[in-house]
Amino acid sequence: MNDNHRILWTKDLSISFGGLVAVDCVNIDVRRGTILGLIGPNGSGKTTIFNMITGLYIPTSGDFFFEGESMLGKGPHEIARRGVARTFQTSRLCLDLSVIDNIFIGMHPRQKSWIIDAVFRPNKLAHEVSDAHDKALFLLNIFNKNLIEKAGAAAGTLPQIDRRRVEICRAMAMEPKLLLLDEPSAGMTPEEISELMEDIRKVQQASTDITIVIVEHVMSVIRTITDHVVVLNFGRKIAEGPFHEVSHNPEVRAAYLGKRGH
Amino acid sequence: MIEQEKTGLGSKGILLVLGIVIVGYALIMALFLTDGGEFLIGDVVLGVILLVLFKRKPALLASVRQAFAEQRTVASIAAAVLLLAVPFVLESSPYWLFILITAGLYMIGCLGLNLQLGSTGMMNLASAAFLAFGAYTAGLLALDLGFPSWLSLIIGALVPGLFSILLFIPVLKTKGHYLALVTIAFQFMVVILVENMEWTGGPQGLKNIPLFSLFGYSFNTDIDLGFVTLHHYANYYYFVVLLVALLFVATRRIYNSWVGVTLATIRDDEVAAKTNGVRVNYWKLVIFVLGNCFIGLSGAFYSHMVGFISPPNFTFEKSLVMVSIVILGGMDNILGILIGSLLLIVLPEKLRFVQDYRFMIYGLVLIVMLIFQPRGIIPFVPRNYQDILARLKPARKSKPETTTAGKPA
Amino acid sequence: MSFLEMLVQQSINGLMLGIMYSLVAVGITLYFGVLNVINFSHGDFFMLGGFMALILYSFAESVGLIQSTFATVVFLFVGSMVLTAAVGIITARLCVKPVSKAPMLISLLVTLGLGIALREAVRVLYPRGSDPKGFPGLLPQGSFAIGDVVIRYENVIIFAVGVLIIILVNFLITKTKMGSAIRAVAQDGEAAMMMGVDLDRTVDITFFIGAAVAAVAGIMNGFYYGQVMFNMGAIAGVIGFSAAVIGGLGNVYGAIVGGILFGLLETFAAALLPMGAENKRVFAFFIVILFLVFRPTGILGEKVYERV
Repeated sequence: MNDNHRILWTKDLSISFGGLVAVDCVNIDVRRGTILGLIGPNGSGKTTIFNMITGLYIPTSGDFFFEGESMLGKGPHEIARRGVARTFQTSRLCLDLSVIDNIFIGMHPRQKSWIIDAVFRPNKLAHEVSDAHDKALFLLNIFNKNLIEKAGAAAGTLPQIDRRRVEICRAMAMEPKLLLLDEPSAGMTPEEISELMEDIRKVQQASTDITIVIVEHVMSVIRTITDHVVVLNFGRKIAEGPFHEVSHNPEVRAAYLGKRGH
Repeated sequence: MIEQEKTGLGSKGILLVLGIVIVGYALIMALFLTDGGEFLIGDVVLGVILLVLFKRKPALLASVRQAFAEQRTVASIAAAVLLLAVPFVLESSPYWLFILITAGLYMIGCLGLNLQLGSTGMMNLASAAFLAFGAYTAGLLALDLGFPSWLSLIIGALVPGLFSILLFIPVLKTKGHYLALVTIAFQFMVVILVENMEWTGGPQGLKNIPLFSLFGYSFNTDIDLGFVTLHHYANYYYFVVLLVALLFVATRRIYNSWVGVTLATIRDDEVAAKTNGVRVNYWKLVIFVLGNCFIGLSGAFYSHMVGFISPPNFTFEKSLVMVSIVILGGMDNILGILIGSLLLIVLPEKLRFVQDYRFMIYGLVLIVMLIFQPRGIIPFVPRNYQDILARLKPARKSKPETTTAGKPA
Repeated sequence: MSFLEMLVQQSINGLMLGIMYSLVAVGITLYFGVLNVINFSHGDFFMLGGFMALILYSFAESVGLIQSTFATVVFLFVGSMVLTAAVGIITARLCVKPVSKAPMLISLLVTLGLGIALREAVRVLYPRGSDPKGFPGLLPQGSFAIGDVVIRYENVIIFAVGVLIIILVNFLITKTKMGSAIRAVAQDGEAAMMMGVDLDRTVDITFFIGAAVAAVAGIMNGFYYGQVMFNMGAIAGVIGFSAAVIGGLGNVYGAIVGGILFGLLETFAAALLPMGAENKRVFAFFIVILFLVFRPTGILGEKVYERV
């Protein structure tokens, strides 16, 4: 595949913890502007791959490239600043901070002023805060007008689905090129999951050339919104392709059905 | 507009603000001017009642906050006038003036510690060591090298920032209780070293440090205003009030800016901060240095005020007192730091009969606060940008509506 | 004195000191392992042990109970251990248990506060508490020599008692039912509870053992230096902590290793480094910082991976 077509790709990406191999020589290509689903039984290494791609874990071998540039060894903040945003399996919001504050942090890479400005140029800061405020409300508005009313409330007072939305808003506030969603449907009811799929569509509409990779267990989500799916098992890629192909793959079925619970 | 326009409190707000400020002032001053325990008990009881009331009825607290937010100028002027009047009110009890100054020095130091601990979540149990760095630097510069006190004050504030470098690696590589342990070890190391070195005066410390003077005016001179003569402590008092006011405004502005939000995110969830592009290591170091400079300033001024410093002034217990103030006042609560300092420094002085038990009280306060109210005495409320936004309101009204069409510029 | 003899001499001093530190460290590591708290008041139980013994001695003296030295010594040890442990359990229930589920930083601060409260209570309540108090010199004085190396009888006794206590504690932990309960709770509190372990009782017993062992160290300290002082617990706590960290928090063997190491470090630093005598602690603390930063799990601890 042409480098221009893929925004992110991994090359024999591997990581082991102590003696345990968590991810084994995984090669994934993420096509620009598409939604990629990353699926596999528990413990197959999906979140671990996310953690490597975002710089939180250092791979033991292999490499990965974003926009053609190797990101190996780069810190999380560097990768984030290049336009990679993510959400976490357990929404990592700062529960004591207000909803708006949580979204502000997504705009961090774009803030220009510093402590000196905060202290000595309150007007300049007021403008920055005001712009950020508007932008945050705009993002919240994409999802749900109710969220706007709760903008000043502590994030901890929100129900799970709203927290997930705020987390997505925070990720969007970075104006990312690549958005990584880690099990966004975790803890949601079926109605909430359909709302979630709507939300992801809205995200795609709001920024036209965004690429999304989504780790999920709920197959309806994968089936509905993804263009392409990669299946992992025991840290290795065992299949890839459109969902309907992959779901009929015997090895994939064995991986899921052969396992009994966790 | 999206935010609900709360109805302003108008003239009721002014009355409320002035009432609170003046009555509060009177109650506190009465503590100093009377000998018996009546006002003390009354004040404490009143304080507890207010605390419980505010906890039960947050709407009440919200109205009070709103009143103060709206009547910013009135409150500031009233507070300024009353603060300036203190040396006059306490003209006959310079001892209490001295205590207030001491509380003020703690405020300066604890505002710095709060930046580290409350805002960014970095535990620093070596704050007394940094007080020592500031105090000894200023003292030595003035004593041995004859530096003018304003210069030794500034350098005394900056040098502890420099010494912070010693702890850079631990600050970056350890967190929580591990960082606490490192700072405790560091604190002990510094005190032992200072005690054993010749040029810091050894266990006796430094004596006869030149007292603070500004352009020839020594702070040791009483202020003769004709109708009244203010004790020379008033000089220190006014200077400290100025410093506290400046640092208060500065830290508040930091808190209310995106810097404050960044620090809070580092404190609450480093991983989230990192994946949102925050250079966590950079901010931790910057804030660590800045906080230690505040602390150093406090120590340096202390040198020039008391003229005599020695290792027992900078023990681990003192670090613990400062941490207690930050915890009592509320982590990341700027006003709370000021209140906490007043409570923990002034009250035990008033409780003369518990003078001996002073440190036990600190210990107990720490225990009780952490078990029952780890948030601090002032109920916690998320950041409110209304006043910052209000400041820009006239300008914003002329901006085109951006919330419906496309993204804002 | 040859270099070897100097080494031996210092090692003996260091070992004795180290055993005392180990006893304090054992308590701290137990609290960390079983309750997940950092108990900075532990050093003050070291101090309390010494003071309780002093009080018991004065009581025994005034009542005319002093018969044989040996019996008195045993009485002091046992009596003080029980009393100190009782205080330990009470304060732990009041102050430490409520914050045991909170981040360890909180328990660290709470116990720091508790330590201060205990220290000040002794200072205020004991007559002329701020002054050092003479401790009865009940251990046989005198010494014997091997070559140029001087070994005091006290050293031997203290070392022996220390080792005895450690063996006892080890036996308790590895061979008794209560010990396995402690180890189970240390590994996984909830699982232990589901296996029928009485969590509360186990925690109480842990506090009892910890405080009692610290008390022993405090008494030995009193015998050796001939005095106790209200603030001797502060530094003992910090050192006990450092020793536990060096050895590996949560690991009882680690506490022993760490304590002995710290004692040896201090002694050798005092003997070998320039200006070592006053600054020996500085050197030792520096080593502790190195451990905290680069190997927080200590010598005997295991590396833990942080899950994101």
